[in-house]
Amino acid sequence: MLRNLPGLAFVLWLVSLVVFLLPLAMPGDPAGIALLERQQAATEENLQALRQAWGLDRSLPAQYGQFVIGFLSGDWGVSLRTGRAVVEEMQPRLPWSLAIGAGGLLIATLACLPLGHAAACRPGGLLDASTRALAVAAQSLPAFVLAIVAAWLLSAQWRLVDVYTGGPAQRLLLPTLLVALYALAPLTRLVRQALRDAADQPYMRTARAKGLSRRQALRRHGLRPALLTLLAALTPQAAWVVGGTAVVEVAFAIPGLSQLVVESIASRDHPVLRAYLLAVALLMVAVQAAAIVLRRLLDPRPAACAA
Amino acid sequence: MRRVSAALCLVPVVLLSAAGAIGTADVHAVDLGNRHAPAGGVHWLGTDHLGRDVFARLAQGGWRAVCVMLGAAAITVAAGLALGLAAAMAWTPLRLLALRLAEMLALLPDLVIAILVVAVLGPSPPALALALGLAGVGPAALLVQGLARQTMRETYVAAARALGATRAGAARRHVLPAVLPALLTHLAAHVGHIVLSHAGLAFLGLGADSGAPDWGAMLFEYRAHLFEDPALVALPCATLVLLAGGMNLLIEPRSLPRR
Repeated sequence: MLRNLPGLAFVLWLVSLVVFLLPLAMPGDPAGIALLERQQAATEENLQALRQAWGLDRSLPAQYGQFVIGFLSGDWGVSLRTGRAVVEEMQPRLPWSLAIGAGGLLIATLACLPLGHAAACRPGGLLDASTRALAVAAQSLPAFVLAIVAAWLLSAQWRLVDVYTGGPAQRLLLPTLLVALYALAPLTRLVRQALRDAADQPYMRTARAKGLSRRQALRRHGLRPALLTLLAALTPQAAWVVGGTAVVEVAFAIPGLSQLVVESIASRDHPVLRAYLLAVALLMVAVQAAAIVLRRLLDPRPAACAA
Repeated sequence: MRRVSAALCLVPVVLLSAAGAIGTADVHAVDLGNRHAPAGGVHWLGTDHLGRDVFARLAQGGWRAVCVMLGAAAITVAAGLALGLAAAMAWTPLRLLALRLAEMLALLPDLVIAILVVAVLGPSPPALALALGLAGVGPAALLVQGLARQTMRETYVAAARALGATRAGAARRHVLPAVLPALLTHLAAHVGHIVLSHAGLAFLGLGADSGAPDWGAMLFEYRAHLFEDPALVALPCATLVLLAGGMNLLIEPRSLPRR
């Protein structure tokens, strides 16, 4: 994957260009759609007034400049559907999505290290086999199916949690755990594999000869290579979490960002779509940048030798 | 053993999809007098909450799932190969642009790419196939790029170039055979992911207009009827697992998983 920060900045610029051009490629005239959504007459006057208000009558480069400056200064435009500011639309929804997505990914990242270590200590053991089964299941069973069944069992059959009507904590518990479980499954296998690879290295034999137990040797000398593998997998995993969060939100009827985005596609509400897409892209770039920086800290070898 | 279980998973789904391709019954025929009919009789798998034939809907959903899967896989291979080779051997500015494009596609989540494509083309199975295909292009192109650059450094390629082979000629004769097996293995590991991703996007409502019999959309629609008629949820779920699991079993990825 991407290794250098300037390249990453270029990728971000490329994304901003694609997202900027999106409304031009979408079918329909945005001003006309907005008037339709607000149930106003689509007279030439009204259309021109809206276009002028949004700056759509200016040249493309000028519009792009306006778009980027607006995004950076927190002015993400006005929703065509409701006429409210996009930031206002997103603000109450963001905490839900963030809790599920970031919370799930955090739990998975923290839990995969001890689990992978335990699985690597006894290859072929019960724990190793069950993490493998979990990984296979996560690859064959979509998250939302498990979400539907879990919601049914826990809230309707056993009445343990109020999935749909409880407080925020009760409503967030299951979705967050579900995202964590799905992110955990492959990460645990990756950590386990990295630790097994490290176990065959000569330095591990030296550590054992010094008198460390297998468990201790793996922890002291296998952790660094395992962390490097984990970092490489972090961005693809975060990318999965974005989609996984959306699906789980819909399955549990959580008023998060994904609901807003899906509705916005149907009504061609491009300011909302633009803001969401660019924000997610920015988030992914930030995750990848953090992975690059952490990798350099963890791996002191120069990039040319490490490759 | 694994081949056998893969066949056991895939054969029913393939038969089901074939039935969907031929079209056994009207998937939209509503019969409110005959809601939640049990399996058997005219309706092999019973009817749903609107009295629609579950088997016909399941079959057509299977046909759509298989088409999207194959379409996305074809786009991933073709575009991944083209972009990867361009990123490895084209004229330098073009090469860097191709590389950044591949990295961009690899960085963006499937959902983001799907939203972009569906916003432009509207929700339909071809749009989803394009979106899922594009989502796979990034990793595939980066794989091709790495392998192609490695192959270009081999002495036999240098010898071919010295003997007068053009860059494109060397790419076709020497780089392509070195890259293709790895790309196909990657694809085999990726196909199960395409199936699940498609179901997820259909569940979100990006698959087609509402009421279309995609498995994901069926699960979204039937989830409220889990109490009265569990089979409505269990059947699309089972076919989904059979297809994705069967594809995963068919060729096991050597290192686990890059979902």
